[in-house]
Amino acid sequence: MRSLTLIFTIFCTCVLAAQKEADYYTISKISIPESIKLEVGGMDFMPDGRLAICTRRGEVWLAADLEDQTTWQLFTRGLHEPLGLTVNDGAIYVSQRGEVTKLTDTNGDDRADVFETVYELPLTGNYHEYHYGPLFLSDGSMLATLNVGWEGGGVSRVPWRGWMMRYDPAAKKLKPYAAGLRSPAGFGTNPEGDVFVAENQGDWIGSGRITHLVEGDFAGHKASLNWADQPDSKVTVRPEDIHDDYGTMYAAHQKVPGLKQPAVWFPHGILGISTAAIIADRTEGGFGPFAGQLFVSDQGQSKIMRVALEKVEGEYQGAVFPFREGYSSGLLRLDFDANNTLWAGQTARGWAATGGKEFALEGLKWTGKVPFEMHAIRATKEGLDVTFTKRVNPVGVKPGAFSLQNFTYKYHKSYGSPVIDLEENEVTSATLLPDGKTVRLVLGGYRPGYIYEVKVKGLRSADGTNLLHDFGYYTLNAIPGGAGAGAMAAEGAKKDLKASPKRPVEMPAAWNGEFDVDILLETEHGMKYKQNYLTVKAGSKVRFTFRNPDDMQHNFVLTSGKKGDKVGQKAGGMGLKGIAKGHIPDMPEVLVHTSLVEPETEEVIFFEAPDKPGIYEFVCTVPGHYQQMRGVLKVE
Amino acid sequence: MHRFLPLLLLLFTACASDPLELHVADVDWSGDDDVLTPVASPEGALTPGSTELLPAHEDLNLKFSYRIKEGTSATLLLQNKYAIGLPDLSVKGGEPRIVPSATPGIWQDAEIVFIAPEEGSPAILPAVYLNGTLVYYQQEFSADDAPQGPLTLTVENGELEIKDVRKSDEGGVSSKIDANGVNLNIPLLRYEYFELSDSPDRLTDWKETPVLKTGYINRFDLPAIRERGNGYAIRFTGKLQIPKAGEYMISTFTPSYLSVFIDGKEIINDFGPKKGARRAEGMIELTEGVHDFRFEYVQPGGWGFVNVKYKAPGEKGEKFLNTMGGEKVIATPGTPNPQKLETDEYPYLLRSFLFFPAPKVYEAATKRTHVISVGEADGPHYSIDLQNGALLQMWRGDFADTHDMWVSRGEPQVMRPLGPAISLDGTPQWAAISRDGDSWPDAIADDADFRHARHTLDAAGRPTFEYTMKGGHSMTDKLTPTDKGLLRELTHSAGGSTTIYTQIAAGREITEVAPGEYTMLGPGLKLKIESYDGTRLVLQHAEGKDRLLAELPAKGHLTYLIEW
Repeated sequence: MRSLTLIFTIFCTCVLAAQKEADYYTISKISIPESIKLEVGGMDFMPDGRLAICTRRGEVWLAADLEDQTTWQLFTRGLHEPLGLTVNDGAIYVSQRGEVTKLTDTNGDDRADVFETVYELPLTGNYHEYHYGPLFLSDGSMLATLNVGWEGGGVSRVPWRGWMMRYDPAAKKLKPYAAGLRSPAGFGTNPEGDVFVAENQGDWIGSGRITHLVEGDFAGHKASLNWADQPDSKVTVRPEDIHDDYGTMYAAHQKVPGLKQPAVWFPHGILGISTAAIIADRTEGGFGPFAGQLFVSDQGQSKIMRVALEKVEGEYQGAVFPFREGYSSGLLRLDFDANNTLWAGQTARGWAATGGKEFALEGLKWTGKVPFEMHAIRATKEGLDVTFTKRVNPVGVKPGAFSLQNFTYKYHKSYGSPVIDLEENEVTSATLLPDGKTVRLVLGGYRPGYIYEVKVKGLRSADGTNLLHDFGYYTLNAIPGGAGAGAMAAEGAKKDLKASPKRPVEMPAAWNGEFDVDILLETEHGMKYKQNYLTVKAGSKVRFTFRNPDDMQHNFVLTSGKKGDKVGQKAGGMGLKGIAKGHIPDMPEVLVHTSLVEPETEEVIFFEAPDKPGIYEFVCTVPGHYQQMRGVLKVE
Repeated sequence: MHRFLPLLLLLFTACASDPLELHVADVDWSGDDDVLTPVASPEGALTPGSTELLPAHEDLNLKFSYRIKEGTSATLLLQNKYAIGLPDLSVKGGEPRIVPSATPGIWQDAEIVFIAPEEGSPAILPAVYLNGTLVYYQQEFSADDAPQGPLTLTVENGELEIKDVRKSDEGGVSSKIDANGVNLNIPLLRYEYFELSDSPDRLTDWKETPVLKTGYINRFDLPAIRERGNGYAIRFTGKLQIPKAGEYMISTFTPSYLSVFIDGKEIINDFGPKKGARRAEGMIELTEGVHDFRFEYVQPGGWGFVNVKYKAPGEKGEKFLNTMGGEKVIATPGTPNPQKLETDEYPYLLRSFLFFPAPKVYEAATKRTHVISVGEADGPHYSIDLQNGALLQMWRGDFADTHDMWVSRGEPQVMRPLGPAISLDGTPQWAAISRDGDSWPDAIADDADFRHARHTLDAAGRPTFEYTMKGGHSMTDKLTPTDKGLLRELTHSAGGSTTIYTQIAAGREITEVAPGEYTMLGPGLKLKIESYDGTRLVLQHAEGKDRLLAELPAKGHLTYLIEW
């Protein structure tokens, strides 16, 4: 009888999860020898098919035969935290902290013997001054990006921190290209050759995003503007132009045209927490139905997102969708091999990743089956056209099959942003267009300057398949034809979470100003609590201080027992609502919690410890954190 | 043509007859003022027997240079009872951070910071450095009942020379007046650490709770002392030297609680209400001289930090007092658990940041940001600053500690040598000076256009560094380990019209012992020119700094041995 129940359970699970990402795209993991700490900083394929990989510990490995019996050749070592590698013209180019270096093997022994400084960068010695690239353009010039330093906020104390730089090898000249970057860990081109840079949430950066950059653009982070007036800079924005008062980037862009809006926002915690590599699908169908689109990796959430762009009023905007999750570590780099396998180079040291492994190298192959997915979203004058990968069963096409809401983020110096100005859109009509794959949505409350969450329910393809992923986010910078008033101010901003019974920020009056125990919980770099074992006497009055010296937002959620996984999973599935509610699910398993605590700040809450002795798990419910970031409160 | 030949021959002979003639030029040099005063040191080599270096003393910051013959052993007795063994600075029961070594015939620089015992606290060595490298940190001496006395040096075997003895009566850097005005610094802080009982907010009588530990530290470095995040108190005491009388303001900034006392008078009492980080200040009239400083820090809950500042009489700005905060990088002692980078027979070229000059514990430090360290087998290993071509340091033994680079985010991003490093002065390797007495640049001039162009590896994997400089010059530098040190070959591989110079070494004293052979002090090195086809060797001499330079014409080269 017991086994019958088990079989029944398995059967039900199969029916409910009738399809999974692995049915369409399979991940294969490369076995890495014990002695190699393959913390991938950059990688590129060589003409002979070997993968050249640089690691954060400064090694460059040449990996041959990734598919079978991989061999590893040490090409060089001791580079200074190289975070980019490109094979070009018989040499390997790496971006070390202080320079771009051309590595050449002149005697054919597979070890570098000439290290040529292509150009050098000034540094202050701040650890956060990372350097990424180079990316060769078709004209032979190369691009690289430079992080700002971190002193509790982004700083640019030497040129050209926070910039994308362009080097002309013929003229041997390094020139500033675009400013406003914070931690531009990845950049790449679309099939048209236009350059996109990925950004992470941080100060001045409300959420992850990708931005199209042309020379002279300013992408939003203020610190880089220290050098905007230097010779060769085409950036027109000046430090005094940038302040907190605009409310949103869209509003700031109306006043400061030199401020470039992101082409696509990636809602923080839902579609990534640390966008990294950008790579275009140039496989012409060899990797599935997404030819010409962009894949963007995420370091912290161990996954890949997919972007479909369009040009509206001369500028790029578009949609981002989930694509594939379940990688082992943090995806910093992506590259296609000649057989259309997409390789992901991964590292998580210092910045923990959902996958849990310190580093990994994994390949992603298309199985040949086409998933039923939203393929792209395009803006029309009255709403959005959603195109699917397969013909849609017309029976399901009705307004009720789509739910839409729009929102944006604050543009301010503070770290990150809440979701603001959230409004639902009425779907006035949903019409299947003659191509059989596109549904035209006419929307109420359609306004530019916002991010549109598109959720689809119950729609099936003509061949009866459900959607593999049922949501996406479209960034509407402009409506075709230029209509509409956009996100001019943040007046409608959602207020921070108020004190609630589960977030008691005031000491209860009944305590008469006294409490029994003072508990401190701190975070550490790398998605961890510093103290993961706390004890308290049953029923005692606790003043609880949650301090967050990390450089990203975290919270503290005390659960009603060994409920860390349950609460964490529920929080991770809240979507946009999660952001608005500080990732706190409404469930009895949540006993008390803090708000999302900003970097380098703290919050104090007051609560009585449970009366029942036992183990009570606590977690950070920011999506992607709870597997790593957890501890127990032992009630004695 | 023929009639010029004898003249050419004569010229050739004149040059070739004395290519190693040393041209001495006096130059100006403003040295670092470390507020130590010279002490008369014994002349000549000391043979077995005892010598009194200082009369009876208390706290001491002692610097000296010493040189031994093979087989020499000696003992330095602080207060005539606390023993430090020479030549290898051994302390009974002490655990050195690096394994010190002193080659016979080579000058060594020692710095010993000593705190004399007091009622209830033993004698301690807050820091001992060999050639600038930290050997001991907060090393205690075990107590004994022997009577206290002078500082003596007893040679047991062999011969020992000692010179450049300098001292102050403080166990660290004291206050001074310089171009920036009054700079206050408490040479050493003694701390007592307390943990508070259950209701710390009430702050009843923590001063009666037992002291859990005591120690010495140079700054108010709370994380280095505390053993839990909160619920603790630390009392710091020290001697504050006031170099200029007048009314001083002391200010504090903290989210916690604190009191500041000078000469027992409480000038700041900031015990709430506790509403975030806040400022408190107090004024006090101080006479010139030493004052007792006491600072009590209490962190009941939450998290904490503290900045302490002062404003000197007649000055506008506030300056930090023994605080970790501020814009400057403060060098911490580093980890006692290094992450050792293994070397093999193929040289390991490791790029990193580097604290340079070798930092003093808890003092402001500077980072060189484009450093490459080359290590093979047991060394000698060396580090080069690729931004100015300078040979920064050399050492034997284990190669590098990468703990501060590769653990978690590796925020300091500095490598630390795992052996006793010998440091040079870090100034540019090349410069286009035209006269013997032209001052050697401290840093690369903006318009010098000095660049590290590339480095190439030979069959053994050893690098040759190539640089270019304004005027169409290109230069190379290659170092090869030998049994006794390093062999260095510098070439001026292509040149413009102007003369360029390269520096052989710089230190406190360079003495010519034979044509092309030199001994050095500060750092202690032997230099020997093996091959040179330039035309002019120059010794730039200043009080406290000698610099040996070689002119290199285009296609010229210089090969010399550096031994220690």
